[in-house]
Amino acid sequence: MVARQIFDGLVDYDENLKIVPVIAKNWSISKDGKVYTFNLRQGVKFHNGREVTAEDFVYSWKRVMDPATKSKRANFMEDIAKVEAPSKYVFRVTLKEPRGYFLQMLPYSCFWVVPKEEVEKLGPDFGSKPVGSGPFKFVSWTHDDKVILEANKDYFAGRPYVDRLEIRIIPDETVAIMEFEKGNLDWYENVPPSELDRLKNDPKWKDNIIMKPELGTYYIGMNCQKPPLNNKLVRQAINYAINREQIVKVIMRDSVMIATGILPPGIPGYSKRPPIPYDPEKAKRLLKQAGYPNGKGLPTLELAFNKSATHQRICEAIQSDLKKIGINVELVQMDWAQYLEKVDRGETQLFRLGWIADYPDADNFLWVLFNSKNWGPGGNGAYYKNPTVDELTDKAKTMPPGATRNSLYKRAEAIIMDDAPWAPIYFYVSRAIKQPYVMDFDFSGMGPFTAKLEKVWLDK
Amino acid sequence: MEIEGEMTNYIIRRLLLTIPTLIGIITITFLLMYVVPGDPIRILMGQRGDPETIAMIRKQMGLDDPLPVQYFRFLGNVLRGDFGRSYATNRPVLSEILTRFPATLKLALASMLVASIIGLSAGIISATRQYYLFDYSSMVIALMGVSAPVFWVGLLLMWIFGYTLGWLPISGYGNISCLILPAVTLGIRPAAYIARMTRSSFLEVLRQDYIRTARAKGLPERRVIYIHAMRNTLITVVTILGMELASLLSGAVLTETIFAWPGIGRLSVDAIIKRDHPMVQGTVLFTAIIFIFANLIVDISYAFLDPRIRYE
Repeated sequence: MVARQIFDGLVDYDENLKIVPVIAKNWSISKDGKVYTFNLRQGVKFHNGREVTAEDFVYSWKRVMDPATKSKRANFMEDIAKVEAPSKYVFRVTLKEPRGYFLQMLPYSCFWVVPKEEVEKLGPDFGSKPVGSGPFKFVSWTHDDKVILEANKDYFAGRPYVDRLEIRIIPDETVAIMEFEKGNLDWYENVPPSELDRLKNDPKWKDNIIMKPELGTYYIGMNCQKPPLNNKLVRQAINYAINREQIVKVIMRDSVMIATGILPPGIPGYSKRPPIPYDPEKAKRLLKQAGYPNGKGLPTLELAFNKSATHQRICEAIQSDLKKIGINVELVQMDWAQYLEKVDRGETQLFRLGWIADYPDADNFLWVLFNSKNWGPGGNGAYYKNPTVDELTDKAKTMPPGATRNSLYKRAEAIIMDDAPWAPIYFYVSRAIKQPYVMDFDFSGMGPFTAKLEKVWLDK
Repeated sequence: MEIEGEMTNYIIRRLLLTIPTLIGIITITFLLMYVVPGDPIRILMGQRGDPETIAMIRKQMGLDDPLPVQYFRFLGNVLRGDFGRSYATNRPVLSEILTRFPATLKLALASMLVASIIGLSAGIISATRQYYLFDYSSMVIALMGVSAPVFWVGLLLMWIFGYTLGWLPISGYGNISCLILPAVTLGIRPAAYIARMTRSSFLEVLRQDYIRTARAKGLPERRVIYIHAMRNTLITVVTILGMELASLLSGAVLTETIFAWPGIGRLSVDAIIKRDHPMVQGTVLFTAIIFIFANLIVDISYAFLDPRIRYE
């Protein structure tokens, strides 16, 4: 959120997740889909006054690729064969293979531009005193308290309307809402579900709540290699036995949407699917077919989750739903670090996770989370393997965006839903609230944290 | 002269003893962090941890080296005053701790002040008015103070004085008005302890012969209480204050979280959750040093409060 105001990349998303130019004025893609040539705007300046050139992009991207930088997103660069600057304002990227989602990835932070001289001067402290080319300049950072930014008057797209941004770090949501209602915050980006009903019914706030589907899916993963969940029928039974509506209404207070599939709405390639019915009778029939009539012969299954009151309530609801069809579930909660390791190693039968898109493309869901190349820590914690899904997602990766590519994803998603390595529970929804005088505060499906704030103005 | 020399020797010996203690603490924390499941780099990566990237970063950070190599490298660095950089923020551990220390110190001192004022006065009044209404009611309130969860007290105070009445800021770090609510929240529990301890030790002291003597020789009651009795009860109070202060200086994570106060408590708990080894080491060591010094100061102050206590 803070970094987005300070830095810019070649392109960004608009409110509808369409790619729009930022420092790149326009671009072309070679016929084989491997070479991207970006023509940069002239006169874009870093906060230290120096002009941004193609060489800066070469430096910035190579820096992420360099192991010495220890970038955790170095793998986002793995498709790239070469970056070069044929002239001052032309930046060229050559990919090892065509990638249908390459442009969609570029608004991600690892592709932003940084000034070499500042990085070298500050070394590892660059992150604490960042210098970018974005609409706001860094002023100060009191750790765990607040960050202060000021308008970049020389911003190439015109100076932001707001002179100064004070971004407060308030760990407790209830406290943040109190501060907001008291008028001490102009907006707040993470309205807790427990407060939503009250605020929605309050005439003062009801028109100032912004809810937008966020590109994310909350799910229960099932380890497809571990008996009895290696039996597709058992996994399907679990899917039919879960009362999603109840979870969304009672626990999440309608702050999210019932999941109907893997891909959340808003992702290109998303197809509206019918809801997964809550049908305990069908679930029982499937269990019987699998050789476990009324759950007889089934061992107690372990459902692991990381500590949080909400996860616990959801997992308890699922435990009681599954009990109704004869499946006994033991809940195991642990801290995040330990939990990740357990899921990575495939040491639990059932687990809860939520996946929020890194970039708005079906590849970021269907290839990352279901291709068998990514078993374990790579994203496929369900240890799911289906050769057709592997083939479809591998192929779609290299295709140019469009209807043909989307149809491959549609097929892959249908197969996955039938194989049921997941029980998708809900699609995430962003919930922000603003004061009535805050104007033009909007954000894309990537969430309010990715909102660019240069267009925001205050009517007071 | 003699006594001062004894005291100096004692302090030097105590300080020398802290060295093996600290090395022991470093070693135990170091081993614990490696035994506890959870890979710091894996956590940094978020939900999806590309195994190649993890391996690359681990190698760059020397996390694949044998344990003894890592241990002695770490110990060597610490002895040179280099606590390393946080895995999570890549900032120097020492500077991360030192930037939070002023916030922690302010909060700790303010809440000790609150605790001492409320605790001592309630305790003394209760003891001198034993079995009166004030005694009963203040001891009931003290019991509630000891049992009430900090986050509940904090939210309640915040809701009343910040949100409803608007007298004080709800949360945040800044001028003295920001300090009042968190200091009271944090001070209530030690205040309750101090009140109860002061009351019981006062009652004990008040029954002693020298108090009867003081009264018999016609000293005003005020003098009997505040000079003669007070001094002997202070030892108990100082012990509590010392221990409470040490634990407050190592951070008060709940209060800091509720009031968005940028202190050591949040820093250390975050570090543990993220398995940020250098930061955990740094905060543990820092806390240990604070505890050692607080204990030392308490021990030394005994000698001043009770001239019969001598250190050899």
